Amino acid sequence: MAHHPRWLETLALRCRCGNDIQLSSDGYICGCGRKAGAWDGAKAVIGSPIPYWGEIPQDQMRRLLDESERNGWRAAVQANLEPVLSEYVTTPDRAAFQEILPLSSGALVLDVGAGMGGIAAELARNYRVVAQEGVAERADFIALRAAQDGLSENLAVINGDVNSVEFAPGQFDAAIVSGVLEWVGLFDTSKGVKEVQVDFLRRLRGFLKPGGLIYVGIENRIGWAQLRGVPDHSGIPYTSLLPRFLATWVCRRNRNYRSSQNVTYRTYTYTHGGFLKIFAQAGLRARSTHISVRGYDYPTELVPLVEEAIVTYTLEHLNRPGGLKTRLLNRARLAAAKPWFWRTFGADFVFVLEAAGA
Amino acid sequence: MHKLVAAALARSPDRISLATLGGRKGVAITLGYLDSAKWPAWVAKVAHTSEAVLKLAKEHQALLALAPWAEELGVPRVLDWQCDSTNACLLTSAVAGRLVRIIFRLAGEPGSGSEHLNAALSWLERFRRTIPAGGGGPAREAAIAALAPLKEECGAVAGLRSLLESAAEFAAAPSHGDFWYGNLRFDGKRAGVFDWSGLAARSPLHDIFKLLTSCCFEYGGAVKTPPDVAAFGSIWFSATPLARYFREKIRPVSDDQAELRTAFYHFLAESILIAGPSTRGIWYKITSILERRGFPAPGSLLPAGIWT
Repeated sequence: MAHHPRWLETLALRCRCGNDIQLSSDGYICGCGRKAGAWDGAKAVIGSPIPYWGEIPQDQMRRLLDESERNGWRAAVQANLEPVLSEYVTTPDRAAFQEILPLSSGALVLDVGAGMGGIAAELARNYRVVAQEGVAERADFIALRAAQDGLSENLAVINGDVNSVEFAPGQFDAAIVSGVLEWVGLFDTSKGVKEVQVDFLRRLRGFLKPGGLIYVGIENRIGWAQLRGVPDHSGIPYTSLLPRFLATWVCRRNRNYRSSQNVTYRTYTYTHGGFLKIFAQAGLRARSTHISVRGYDYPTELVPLVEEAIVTYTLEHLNRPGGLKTRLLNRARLAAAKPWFWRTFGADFVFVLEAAGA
Repeated sequence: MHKLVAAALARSPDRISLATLGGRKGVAITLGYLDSAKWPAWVAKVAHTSEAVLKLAKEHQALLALAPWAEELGVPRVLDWQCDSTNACLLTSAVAGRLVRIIFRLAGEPGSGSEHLNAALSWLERFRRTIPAGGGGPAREAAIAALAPLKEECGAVAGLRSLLESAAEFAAAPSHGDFWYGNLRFDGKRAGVFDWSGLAARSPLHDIFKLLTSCCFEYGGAVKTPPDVAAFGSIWFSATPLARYFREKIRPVSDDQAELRTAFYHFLAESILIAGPSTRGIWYKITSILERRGFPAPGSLLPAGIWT
């Protein structure tokens, strides 16, 4: 039998027939006869992997995997990826949000859309983590880095589409949804985007134990970065600011769309109020809301929407005084140090959600 | 989340919002804000590397040592502490007050925050009056030795040297170690100080240099030059508790601690005005010059009195 973390024995998938399928077996076959997947080397494969997509082309990803096996994943990343991407993959900062998550040591955490494993691997130093990733190559990479860093006992990798991996209810203490919610609309085009997102959150809520939390890191639809013209998920600036029908129209006529699954504009983000609405529709409420000043990808500086916290942060990050321009900019930043302003125009949100009835 | 932070959250009857301020040098800082309060209710520092654990342990020790004077000096109180070799968490009360960016303009009109600079200097005086200073023979020897190379460039040195030699005792002063405005908070004009991991016995110059030089900044692309440094003295010292000493010459003093401290402040002023830093440089150049000249090294042992 293949080696996997012992605690995986306590985890189960939920078959469509309603039965549970233990993840500790080599082949995940339900009593009803349906095969849900199988343990494959260092990862569980559930359903069909999604077509490759990622920060680098597929052939480069495969080279990275080969080299990671030979020379170690860190060396391979540094040798093969651009410095910015290398930092993104290796830095422990991506999991810095764990400082605000009230989880006890050994808690069971689901990292949804784990990418290259930057968050999952770091969390696995303190918790038991299931890294769910739809792209086979990226799932392999996570398993490899976990093994090479001695984290395999705390980190299990599941290769499966975010919308098709169905866990039995009430198993996880927390689910991490960092940079994922905006993309889920691409993986189920049978329904409206908002409906897909709400269903996704509702399913996640079902996976949680009573008192469990969902961490969401995501852009503000009308955040400062978007207003400045940073490319939206569509690959085109300003599309998040447009009415949805107009954004769809623009994307249909543009070839810069970031995903190969070019299915018009299905990467919805929302304003603060808009997010709270879809959370409520999914039976969730925000336990706390923060602005991630360095972006949700680097959640090292999380400022709650509390006036004193915002003022303190602003005071500590004013520019060194200089000419008129700097002085005016500092004054503007101090004037803008208000919860309503940050809530409206803050670049990236971080939400800690709990079940609405909790 | 560290379990001490979770416990603090659970203990609080009121809702607490958390802010994280990044992982500087292996230490993650989390602030707990009560929604209705003016300042954070508490601060948690969590160290994840063995080096950071050591630093946090030092801060914990320093705060315990300072606990009897915590209220008077505006020093955080230790609320909880847990430590092993690779992980530590220090939970303290927060220092009441806001950051004030004390600005000293090297050219043109005075900057802002002079009242806060004075408050900070007063705090230093109070700190040194409050914390018992212990022995100090080695510090005296080090200070005398350090003055030797200065003889040619600073007229005040000769006087100070004779002063040191004639003094029965010259103790290194208790020193915060990183006394810059970013580690101060002001509630009105009342100063509070945090980040105590560098508490040690040092030259009394250390903290005051760090504070004064942290208030300087590059102006219009130009950096400090001797005339700028002179402006520094004339603008700022005239408005501080040190003003009355500033324009006087070093004079013989008794071996009284307060007199010795005064003499050292003289020396500070003279150093800035006469020797000064080189024509290019920022604050750390000044302190590095002092350190090269052999003033008591940062991190030397505290006088015995502070630990008892």
